[in-house]
Amino acid sequence: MRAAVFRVMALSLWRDPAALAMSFALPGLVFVIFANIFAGASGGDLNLRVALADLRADGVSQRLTDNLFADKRLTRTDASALDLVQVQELVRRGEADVGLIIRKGGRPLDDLGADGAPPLLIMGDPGREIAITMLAGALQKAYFAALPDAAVRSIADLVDRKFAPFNPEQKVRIEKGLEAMRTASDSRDPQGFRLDQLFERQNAVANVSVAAPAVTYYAGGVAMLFLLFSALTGAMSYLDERESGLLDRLATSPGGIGVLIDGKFLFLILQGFIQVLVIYLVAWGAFGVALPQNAGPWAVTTLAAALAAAGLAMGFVTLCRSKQQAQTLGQMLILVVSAVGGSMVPRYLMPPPVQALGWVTPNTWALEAYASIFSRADALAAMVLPWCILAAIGLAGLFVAHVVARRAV
Amino acid sequence: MRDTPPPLPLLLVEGAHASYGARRVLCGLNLAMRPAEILVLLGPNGAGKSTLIKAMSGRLKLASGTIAIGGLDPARDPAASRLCGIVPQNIALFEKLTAQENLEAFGRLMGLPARNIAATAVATLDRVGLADRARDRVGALSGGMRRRINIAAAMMHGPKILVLDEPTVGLDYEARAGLAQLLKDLRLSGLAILLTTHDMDEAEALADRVAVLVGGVVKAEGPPRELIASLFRGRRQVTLALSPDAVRRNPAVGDALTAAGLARRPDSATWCGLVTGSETTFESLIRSAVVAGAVIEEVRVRQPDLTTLLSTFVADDRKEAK
Repeated sequence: MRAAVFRVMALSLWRDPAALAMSFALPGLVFVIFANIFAGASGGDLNLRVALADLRADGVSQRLTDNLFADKRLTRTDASALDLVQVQELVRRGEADVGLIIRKGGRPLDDLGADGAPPLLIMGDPGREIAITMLAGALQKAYFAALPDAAVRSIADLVDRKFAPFNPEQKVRIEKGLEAMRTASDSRDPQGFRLDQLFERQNAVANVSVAAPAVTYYAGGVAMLFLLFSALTGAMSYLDERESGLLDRLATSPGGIGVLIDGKFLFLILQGFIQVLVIYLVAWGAFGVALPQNAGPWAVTTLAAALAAAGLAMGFVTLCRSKQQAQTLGQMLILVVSAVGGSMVPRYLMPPPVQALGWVTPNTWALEAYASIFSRADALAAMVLPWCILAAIGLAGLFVAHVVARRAV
Repeated sequence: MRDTPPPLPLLLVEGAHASYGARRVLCGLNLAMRPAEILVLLGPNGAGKSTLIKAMSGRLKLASGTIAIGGLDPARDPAASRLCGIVPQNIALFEKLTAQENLEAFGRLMGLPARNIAATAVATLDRVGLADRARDRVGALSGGMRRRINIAAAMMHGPKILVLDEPTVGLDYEARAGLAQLLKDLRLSGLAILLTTHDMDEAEALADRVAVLVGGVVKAEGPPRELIASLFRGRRQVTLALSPDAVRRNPAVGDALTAAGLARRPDSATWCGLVTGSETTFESLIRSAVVAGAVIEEVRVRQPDLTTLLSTFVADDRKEAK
């Protein structure tokens, strides 16, 4: 009898092209959009447009800018020579994310210990503070890579003036050393003296093979958001059936209303599972998320997440008085739960109280389980708690649906 | 030669009491129904019709009294309620499925053996005259056809009593006539049909018996014509619409009409009532109003019908309640 309800739900969905597209095509599309937007914003593939005005235009400034734009994350907006006003205008109009002016006056670029104004001016938009910070970091790196001799010279001058004056012989040796550094820097000799190698970077998670970790995060985030939406839409057919009198008709059936509730619940789980599978197949095919290597834990997590969404949706709609109420209130709740639970904005960007609140949402538990699989490569034991909680949420929702539906007839 | 004894009641309700909280809905209801008859339940909203159907389908336990369907108590034995096929007022079908798929789905939900379902669906569609539309989606069928499938869905598990809640709401004349004929045909096949309706013409045309349910009890039951004849005993329904200021100008007009047994409708110049008598009685009634100075705008004299019957019981019930 449950299979009969399941079949009715499946046929109804199959024969409704709009609902079919909403269930299986839209989630994948939205995921691709989210992944492209937020993977870039989190730093993975960010491209910063920089408007440059090199008012000094000498060999030193050329070495600095060559090194700066060797960084593939930075793009120069205009190859032609700009002035300060033009740079300011480009930033103001949003055609450049940030501006860099190499001043003609002020301290020399290769002698930071000299008197005068700083040789560089960063022109930024307060609305894009992150661009200013990124350019400042890139500039420091480029400066030490392009002009290590200038950095050492500044320190030597400081020591000479303030702490222990060098004698003429020492000054000659320092000059020779600085010349060797400059030559090594120009020739990019790996054996030469470079100041840009302060640190190396290593991923804390050994098994992660994804170019942009944010893509992995958003696959889970979008999946949970759409699971809730599609479960709500599917479960609302119960309200149509209640209003039409179908529940009265089924009240005399051997299985009663419970059969209807169970059949819908099982269908919503399968629908949700396929929906999330589509999202992760896109994530695997387009962004390299390691789905095949983690198929087992992923399947259990997705099943638990789909179960939670189906149970919550069934419990919720049985409590609603009308389809309109379910639609309005349900959409509002899903948006709030998804925002707090981390489906829209990564949880690590949230203030601690909101992060703590997230633990009452299924989204957070599902994201936690997906992160265990794809980002942290945890052992299976770490996923057991999220799985149990998601399953418990779903079964609690199913229980509520049974109790309320029985009272309704 | 001995007469054939009447068949045993398929439905027998005796002294049924039920309430929702403090509100009493069934107050000692008695009702019996035999196979192959159409019984129409008449009553105002809140009279207890839906509650009776709920109790028949086992969804409501009586506070006292008994209901027996085929000798079984639906509150204790689910097999009893399965002798009923419930046809809701709205179209309770799956729109995206074909007529046959719908019937098969309801067959499965009602626990029919899988091997019989397809054949039963075809046969049931044939019974409601829609065998040729088996593969059409329900959403694409006309209102009348959907009503027929709505009925067919309730017949899939082979009930003995078909319970229909206002089955002709929203149908045009032709579809109504077709549905009425279908119900008569189903009755001939042995089904007992319990019907609730607010359409008195439909009730009179279909019913073998009507039961007037007011205030949680059956006030009267029997074949419609017999019931009307026994209650009104030759009286006729008279309606007189006077000019608006007729009574104010001459109070004697009102006195004459009241004496004849008519009552004024609230906030109008229309007088109506049940009057015993012949043609001359009505003629003298009208003449006395005209002599008293009234201008008569409309006169209607007709046989009482089920509407009159029901409104009489409702008015009596309100008087008792006061």
